[in-house]
Amino acid sequence: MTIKALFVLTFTSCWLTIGFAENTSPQYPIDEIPENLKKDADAVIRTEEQTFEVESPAKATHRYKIAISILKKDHAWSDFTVHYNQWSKVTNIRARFYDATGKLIRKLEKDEINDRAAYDGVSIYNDSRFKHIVNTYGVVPYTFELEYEVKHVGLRGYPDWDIQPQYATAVQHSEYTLSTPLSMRPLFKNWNTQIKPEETNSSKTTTLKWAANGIEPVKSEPMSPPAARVLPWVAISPAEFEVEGKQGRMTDWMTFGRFLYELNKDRDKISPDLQAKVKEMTASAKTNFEKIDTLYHYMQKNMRYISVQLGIGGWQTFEASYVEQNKYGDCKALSNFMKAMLKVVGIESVLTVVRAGDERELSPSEDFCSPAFNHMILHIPSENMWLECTSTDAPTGYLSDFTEGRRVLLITREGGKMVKTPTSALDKNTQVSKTDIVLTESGSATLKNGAILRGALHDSWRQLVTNVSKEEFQKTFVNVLKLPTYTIKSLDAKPDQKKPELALNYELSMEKYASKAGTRLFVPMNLHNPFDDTPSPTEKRNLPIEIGGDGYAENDEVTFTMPEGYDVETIPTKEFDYKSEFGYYKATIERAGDNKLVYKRQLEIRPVHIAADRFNDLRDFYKKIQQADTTKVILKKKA
Amino acid sequence: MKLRFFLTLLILRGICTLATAQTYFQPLWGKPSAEDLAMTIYKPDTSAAAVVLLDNGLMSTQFVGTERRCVLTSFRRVKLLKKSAFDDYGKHAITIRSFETLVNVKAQTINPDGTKTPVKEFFDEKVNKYVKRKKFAFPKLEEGSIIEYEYTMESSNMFDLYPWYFQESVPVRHSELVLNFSSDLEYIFLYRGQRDLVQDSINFNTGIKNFDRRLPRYWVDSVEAMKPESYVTTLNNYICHLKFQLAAVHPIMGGPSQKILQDWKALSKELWDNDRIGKQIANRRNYNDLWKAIKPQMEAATSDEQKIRIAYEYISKNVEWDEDNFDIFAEEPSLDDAFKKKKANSGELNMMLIACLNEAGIKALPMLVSTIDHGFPYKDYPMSRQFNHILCFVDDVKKPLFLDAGNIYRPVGVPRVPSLNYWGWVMDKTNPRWVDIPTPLSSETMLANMTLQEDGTLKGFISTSYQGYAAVDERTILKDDEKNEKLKKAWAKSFPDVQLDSIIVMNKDSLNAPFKRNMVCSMPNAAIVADDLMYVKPTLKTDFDENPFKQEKRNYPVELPYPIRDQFVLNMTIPSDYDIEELPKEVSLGLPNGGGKFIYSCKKMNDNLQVMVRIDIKQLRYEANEYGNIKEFFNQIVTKKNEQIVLKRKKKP
Repeated sequence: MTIKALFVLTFTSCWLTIGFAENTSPQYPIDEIPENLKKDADAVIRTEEQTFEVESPAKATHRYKIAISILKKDHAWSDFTVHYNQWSKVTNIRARFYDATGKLIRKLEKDEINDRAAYDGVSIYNDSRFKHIVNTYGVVPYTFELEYEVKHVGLRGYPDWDIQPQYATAVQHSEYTLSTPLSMRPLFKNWNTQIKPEETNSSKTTTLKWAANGIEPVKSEPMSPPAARVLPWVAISPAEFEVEGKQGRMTDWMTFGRFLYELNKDRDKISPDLQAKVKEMTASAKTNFEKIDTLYHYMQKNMRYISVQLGIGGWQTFEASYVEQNKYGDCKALSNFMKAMLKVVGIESVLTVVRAGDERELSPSEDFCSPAFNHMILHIPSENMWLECTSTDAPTGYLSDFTEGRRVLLITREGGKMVKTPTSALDKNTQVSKTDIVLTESGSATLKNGAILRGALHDSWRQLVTNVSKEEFQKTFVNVLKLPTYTIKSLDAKPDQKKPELALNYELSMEKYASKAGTRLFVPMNLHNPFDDTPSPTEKRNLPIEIGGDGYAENDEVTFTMPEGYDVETIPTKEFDYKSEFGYYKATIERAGDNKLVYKRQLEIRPVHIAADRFNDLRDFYKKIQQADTTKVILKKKA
Repeated sequence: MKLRFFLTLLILRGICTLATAQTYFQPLWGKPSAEDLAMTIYKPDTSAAAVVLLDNGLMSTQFVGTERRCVLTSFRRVKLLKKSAFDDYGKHAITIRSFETLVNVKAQTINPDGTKTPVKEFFDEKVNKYVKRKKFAFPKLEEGSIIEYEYTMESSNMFDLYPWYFQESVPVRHSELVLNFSSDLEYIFLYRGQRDLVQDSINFNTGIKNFDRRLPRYWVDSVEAMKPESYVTTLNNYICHLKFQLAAVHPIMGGPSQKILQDWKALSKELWDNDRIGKQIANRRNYNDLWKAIKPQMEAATSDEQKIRIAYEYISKNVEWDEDNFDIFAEEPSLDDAFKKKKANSGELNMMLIACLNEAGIKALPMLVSTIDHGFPYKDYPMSRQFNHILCFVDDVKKPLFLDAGNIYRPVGVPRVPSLNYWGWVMDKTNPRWVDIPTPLSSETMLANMTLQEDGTLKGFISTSYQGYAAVDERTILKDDEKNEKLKKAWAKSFPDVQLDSIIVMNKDSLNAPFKRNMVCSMPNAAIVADDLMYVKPTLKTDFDENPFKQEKRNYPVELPYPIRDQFVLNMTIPSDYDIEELPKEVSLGLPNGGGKFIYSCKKMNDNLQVMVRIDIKQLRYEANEYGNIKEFFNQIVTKKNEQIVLKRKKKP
């Protein structure tokens, strides 16, 4: 019995020791963060460690761990997402919270990890999903630690190394180890950093290891280049990849483009009926342009944009017959469908992938191949024309700011070719308007405005008027035109069928245009289109200033008819003239005839790329024109 | 034998009803009228991009096998008049929660030329562990297409049946709901909306010979599209809809009826016995850690008032509220679990407060409320699901206190704005009762002593005092803005080159005292200087610069959350070389029945000008026919605020 008792005792104490195997020493105490990393930081990444082990073009395991100390209640780290799809699986997710001294507060419960479908805003169905973990704790500072593993059985890329992912976040330590079979050495490109990896090779594998320490936080500033061109990161691409049994190489654009070509070729069969219709519609066309124009309008009128992203469907288009039958498709399917119709009349076209949206400068670079595209358009080499196939209202051949002025990849039979889409120069983004304002003694007025908007200035109006109801259009118009209380008597927006142009005409009656004070009326010269982009002042700026795009120009003429019995008492300033490298502003106020005033205003705003220390130069120019736009004329009742 | 007959009847009734439900809408399927196919415009509302031609439902409470279910079969036919409707109506997603089953669904597009294209692609999406969706898009759409779909859903929730909405954001030409309720389940019907429902009955073919039933039908024709309006508590209070709540169960086999919907006293008892609400407050083991943490401070307090403040501030400071997470039930197994996580929903926060106050000898009770978004609280229906938030109600102190923990800048007695929804129900075992929720005044008073210089610059000293919700806002902004960047930005909107210096803030942390701010300011170009005239707008504050009520007329009442008082006094010294040429006239306006007041005066006092503006809004609710009054009230304020003082240079002798 004594022996048994001993045995039990020993066994029990072993068990007790195992139970305490958890690390009880303080984890990531806040006072261990160096002062220079804490200053101006919302959060500090204490350590980020990840390994990506590639076994073959299709198989890899990603192990990730991050410990981040949150210093302020308002921070950008409240959500962590781990993406996966039908070729990957997320396992071993674990998260913990530690207090400021490093003591474990609690562990994340299983039911706090949400599994969600990745809603990209446009797809009706998309089989990408993600695990969502919320990082929040009532008392700051504290530290959040997250670990997980993802196993891939199909690869379309490798994770990049995002050294400093957010503004106002310091990085105490970050490392990334990437190992691949010897023949598959990955490619990488540095962004905003000079860091080099340590490379070791064994008989079978090649390993790259990057590490960074002690990166101070960067404060976010308005009008700066996109974060990806300011904060350090390393883009990484696989040399070889495989997904759903399809193999490809991402070593250069030519090769990757060739892969995309093979994936998307021969999917352009349309029914004999439709082929006959295509021929019939274009029978009377004399030039290629006329044929393209006819078919493009046919597609715009009859097809809708509905996105379904399934599996490799993310890279491969649905067949043209799918679009024919359903009368809907996504950007790839619609581009491919247009290509199929053009083929029937002997016009060759090329599917083109593009990174669309507002940051042109983030388009993939010529020297580094990566799958950073999110949209597809169509190129017609013989006419040097581009077609946006998801647009129901664009003039034939017009791309708009969405895809203009950036590097895109043509997917040709020979492989991928990188070219640049055209831009609308400043003189093509214009607004020319003529306004008539008739004032009454009470300060009310009727306003009649006719304007022609071109290029980038007309894009959103064209989209709006074609796609929403008349009421929605009016509602948006009311939100854009910030005048004091008014009622719309008429409102008309006509997009031009052939040119990137729109005619906007409206008539309003306003209860209070001019403010009345006894016998005087204070008449603002530019209430309906004032400049209001002046940034707030700052003490010291660190980041360069960038205002992208191509700039724009406005030319307004306003004729005021004074109320009966009133005359001009003073025109405080009759002329404004400001020239600068950032733009140009000229305004004049003149009397015309007995009872009229004419206000003429020209504004030109140019794109800006300047160093941080020139911020005040830019601000001063904007401030001057914003102030000039508030100018008033004072009328007084004649005796 | 009698029993067997009843059983057979029961099962038969179950099966037959289901079978017939699936064929009930068959006569409608694919058969729109020629006029509807040809329609290019909906005459009662020519701006409509789509119109719901038919929205018909058949809802039954029945047995599916041996389980009780609520079964809803729904048939919808919508005409798409314009392309702009394709986005919203050209596709559909059916949400299926864990207690629901989608039995079948079919859909098709019918084009004006008569061709029918069935929907073939249906996608199953898993939203999360408890919710899935069935999604599909209508093929071959063109302007003028009619889309139809029909589906049947089964739900195991017999307490709340599916609500039926007769109104939506496009016009509805006809909407009806037929009810096939089994007689043993008694429901109360709650209807809200500005249209009256028509009730009649229809002949329902159950499929059994000589066993047709007459079923009640509720319908309405030509319902206007519901358009959102500003300053409405929630459109759900006004949209035409019908809700059903289980009131009693009368067993078919005989036996005593079971009352589900009881009176308020019974509801109070039930909630006090509930683990997730009453028991949390009543049993110390649920909040022991919290009490231990706060006990020393509470015991050191010398008055009830102090104890209340200590508990309120401690909980608000140490436990974070998940914004918008309103609930009357605890999410965590105990209040201590939420305390340990330092995160709680709104009910847990106030339950913690109630528990601590009771421990300290102050009688605190839960007051259940419905937040503004959640809908109007009905005194007639003892249902816990009309409430979604708890306040801490303290009655036997000098005046009743309504405490709403969760924000370190909101003092005792200032509830969250969403809580200000007419009245709340005090969960008292012996005396459950409704008490009106007071709406604390939000006030801002600005005193400015300025000198106008000859170059048009206005220089001087401004002192502002805030109370109530205005103070909460200022303290909240200040927390992240020690350098007063936001304050400067706000002033820069009206005075681009403004300089604000020596900004001193008082009572930043003394929540019960007014929040005060003094500053020295200089505003270049505040006045327009032209020749020998100078024009200056004396109203420096930017509130009430725009009339929030722009519509011509409204359908729904205006519902403001709390009363406001806004005061501005300016003493301005004008340049010695100038005389006053013109001053804005005095105005004194009132809303009917003391609903509000606006006073504006601008007077010369020796060499100074004294401007005084006072705006009081007491009345919070304006019916649609009173809208004109409040709109005009604001118009007058905006007009007056824009008026200018004119000064003229003195002529040289």
